Amino acid sequence: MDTIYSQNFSHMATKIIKGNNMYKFVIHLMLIGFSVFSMPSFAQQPPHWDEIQEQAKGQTVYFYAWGGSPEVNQYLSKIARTIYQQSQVTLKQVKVADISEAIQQLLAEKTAGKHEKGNVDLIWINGKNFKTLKDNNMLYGPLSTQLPNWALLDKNLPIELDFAKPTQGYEAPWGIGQLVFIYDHQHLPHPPLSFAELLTYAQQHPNKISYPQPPEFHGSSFLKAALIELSHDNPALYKPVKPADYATITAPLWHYLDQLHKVAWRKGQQFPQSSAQTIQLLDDGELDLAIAFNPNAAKTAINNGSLPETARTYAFKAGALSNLHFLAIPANSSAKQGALVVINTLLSPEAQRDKANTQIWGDPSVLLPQTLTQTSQPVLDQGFQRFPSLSELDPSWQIALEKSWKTRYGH
Amino acid sequence: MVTRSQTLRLAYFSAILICSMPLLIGLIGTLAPAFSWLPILDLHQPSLASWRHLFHEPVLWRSISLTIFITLCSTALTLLFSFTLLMRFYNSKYWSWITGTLSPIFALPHVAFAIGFTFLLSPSGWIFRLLHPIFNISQAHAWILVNDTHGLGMSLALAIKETPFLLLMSIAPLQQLNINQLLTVGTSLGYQPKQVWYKIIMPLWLSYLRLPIAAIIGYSLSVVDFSLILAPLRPAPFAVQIWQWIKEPNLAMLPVAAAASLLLLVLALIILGGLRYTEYLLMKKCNTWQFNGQRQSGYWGKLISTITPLFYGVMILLPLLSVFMLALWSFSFRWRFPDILPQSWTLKFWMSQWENLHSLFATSMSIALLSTFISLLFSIICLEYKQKNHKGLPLIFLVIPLVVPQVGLLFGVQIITLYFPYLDPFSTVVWGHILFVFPYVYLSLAPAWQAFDQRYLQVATSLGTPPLKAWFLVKLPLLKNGLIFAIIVGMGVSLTQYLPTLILGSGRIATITTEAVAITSGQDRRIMAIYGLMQALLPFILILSSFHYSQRVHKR
Repeated sequence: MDTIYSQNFSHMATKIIKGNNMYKFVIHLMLIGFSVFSMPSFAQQPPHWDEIQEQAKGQTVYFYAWGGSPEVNQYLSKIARTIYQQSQVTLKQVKVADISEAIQQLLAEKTAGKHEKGNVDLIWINGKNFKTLKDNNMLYGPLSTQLPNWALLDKNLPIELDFAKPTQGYEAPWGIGQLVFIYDHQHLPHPPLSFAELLTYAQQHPNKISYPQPPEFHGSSFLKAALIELSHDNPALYKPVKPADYATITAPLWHYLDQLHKVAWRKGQQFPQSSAQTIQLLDDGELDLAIAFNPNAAKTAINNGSLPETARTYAFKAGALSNLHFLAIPANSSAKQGALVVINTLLSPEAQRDKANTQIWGDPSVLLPQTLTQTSQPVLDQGFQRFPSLSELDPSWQIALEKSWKTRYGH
Repeated sequence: MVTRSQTLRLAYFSAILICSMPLLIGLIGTLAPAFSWLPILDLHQPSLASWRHLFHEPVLWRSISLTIFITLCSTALTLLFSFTLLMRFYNSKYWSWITGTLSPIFALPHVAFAIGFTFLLSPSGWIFRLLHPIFNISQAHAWILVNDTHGLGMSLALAIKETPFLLLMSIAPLQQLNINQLLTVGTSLGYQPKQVWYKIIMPLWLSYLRLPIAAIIGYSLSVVDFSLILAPLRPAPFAVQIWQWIKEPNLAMLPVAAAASLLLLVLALIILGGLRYTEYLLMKKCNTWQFNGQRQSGYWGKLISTITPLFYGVMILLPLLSVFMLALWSFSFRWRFPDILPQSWTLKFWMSQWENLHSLFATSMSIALLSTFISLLFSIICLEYKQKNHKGLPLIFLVIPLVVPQVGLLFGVQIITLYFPYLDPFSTVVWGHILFVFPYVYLSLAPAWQAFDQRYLQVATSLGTPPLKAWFLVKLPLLKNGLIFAIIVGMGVSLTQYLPTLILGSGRIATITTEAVAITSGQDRRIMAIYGLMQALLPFILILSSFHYSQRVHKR
């Protein structure tokens, strides 16, 4: 019944907005959705995959994922339909404002002795949150030996490391994040290319620069990237924090922020709450730079009507802080097989190519490039723009920086 | 053989038990961890450690003073708006028109209004866009009423939302007070009508409205969803701060959050007590202003009376424009500052959200229907018991959920649910809603029950109808209006609950309201607009249908 409903709905949709490319594409997608899985697979199936698929049938997978991006939400609701048609697994996205809410819930469940039938079946994480779950043995796995599409992953990417912590196959890479800035090149032809230039720019143009309030993910990443530049890429950043030299290493960062806040948006008294808000403020002309974790963010935002055609993404000349984001299954998940099926579908060439499409989300694929071109579908604008990368710091730095930021500027 | 009155007694006590359990649980679940007793976290030794931690939080005092400021400021504005409107327009030819416009504003959910308010009054909002070409000032110098450091915008928005509530609550007491008679007596003694309102009617009015005013204060102190959209966030109001501590992925913060919840409760009691004392001082102790013989209005009185229509304008225009903004944004594709109207339009966003809205509607409605009908059943049991035994429901059951900060109460419930890991989230959410729906349903139903003439039943039974049959065939139909009103109020309350749904549903239960708040973190104005409109739609339909229904009854 669901399918009939959605098909009728899409017919209606095409009639109403003829000529809208986005919709044509999406309907095209839905129609070919059926044929996707019948294609020859690229790798040998791991043992028991048939069994897993059989057990997954009828399960509902509650996927706790950050709900702040309409593009991501829409991508997930589309793919949920495909997954249901292919595997009879219902995918429900639980849109959390911050993924730490789900971590808190998992910790509470573990403490209360809820070792099965947990509420969180699948979770979108990386970095410090992965560290928390892995260190407390709260993840199910390894996934690497169970997923057929694991073989398609691009092994040139650091898929076995999450913020310098070995994943040991307990989470599956889903996409690539790069800390980038967005500007309107008509308004600002020569954007600042380093944190030092950013400060000079802010001093010349007061009220026009800001960053999301840590511990928001983008805000914390902004702090880390700034610290890399201001500490001249101190090698200590890639090892766990040593309290002895923490103050010395971070001193230039706090000095920098003290100066930046004086001339920042709303005089540094309020901060944007998310990357999405910086994009909105850029469009409103309140900010001159937005911050995003997606090298294709500007294109996606233009396609979505959120930014003018003249918006561009760029990275500072030192490179963009880069990391992978992952999918993991909590150890007490109530639908492990269903979650495996969902992850495997999200790692299929079709799903990864749609994800990379800037008409949809624009998040770069983690699969081998050749897997993406071997299907019969026309190659669409995938916007595989990637910047030279800066490595992630050890996760302990993010925790320490967030804490210091809160003590210094959080009130 | 169990007699009928025993059955009723049993039902009465089970109803009380079910409704009071969350209160008790909430209290225990907050008290124990606040004093470091939470065996789940290996805390077995009662201590003041969590309080010490709390008082060392750098944000604490600024966050608390912000909350106090917002609460006092919004309550004062609400009282000012309400009283001046009553003074100026009560029993005038505009009065029925004004009361007619109150219900839709009252029914507009807080979250929907907050979203529209940001579209209207932020530095790139519509009003600034209108003024921009005239004054040609940059946004950096615009006023800031959204997330502003002092919470002025939040206070204004709260006052606008609460004024209709207070005015609606004033209607019945004012009818009882027989205002015209008071005015006649006052003017015959040479007092201007305005002075009669200040010196005689205001003290009486306030004494009747203590509970609604306490509810307003409780709400302003503890609201989270509304604050997330409009309040400053560095630091955030205290309730939001507590909510952030609860969510922190560090269970060691739970006892601190519990201590903070208790502190918020104490704060609520202090503010309520303080205001009650101020009322006592002004009306009973330092009340020379009441009989100093001054019969004319002073300068301030005249000024306020002149700008009263302006208050009404603000109260009616801002919500109306907010809804209008929601509608415009939901169909816009590109709409850049400083354009007054969108550059391009699209149906795309409605299309993309349609399916999701569908399932959210289903969940929201089933929770609202279930919690309302259970509350209705409980209320009927309690009212019947009251009529039979002349013993009413202890007022405390009704007052606590209305006045006590939601975040603390629910936090306690959540702690206890940790001990029952296999509770079904849907039923837990319905149960949590009952806690907040029941008082409203009971209070809406009580007048009808009190007004019912028992002799109808006596006549029916004396004609040989069995009592239970008589009750269903005679009493229930006669009380239909009251029942329908209570259902509408109950559903309206349930549909807009944010924290109970989120906390007790472990995130798995998504309603229009929780989704609307989650969506605002994405800041996509088109999508926020769609969810704001949809959240406003259901209560609006309810109000419309009640209006339609009452008209039909009236015609008969």
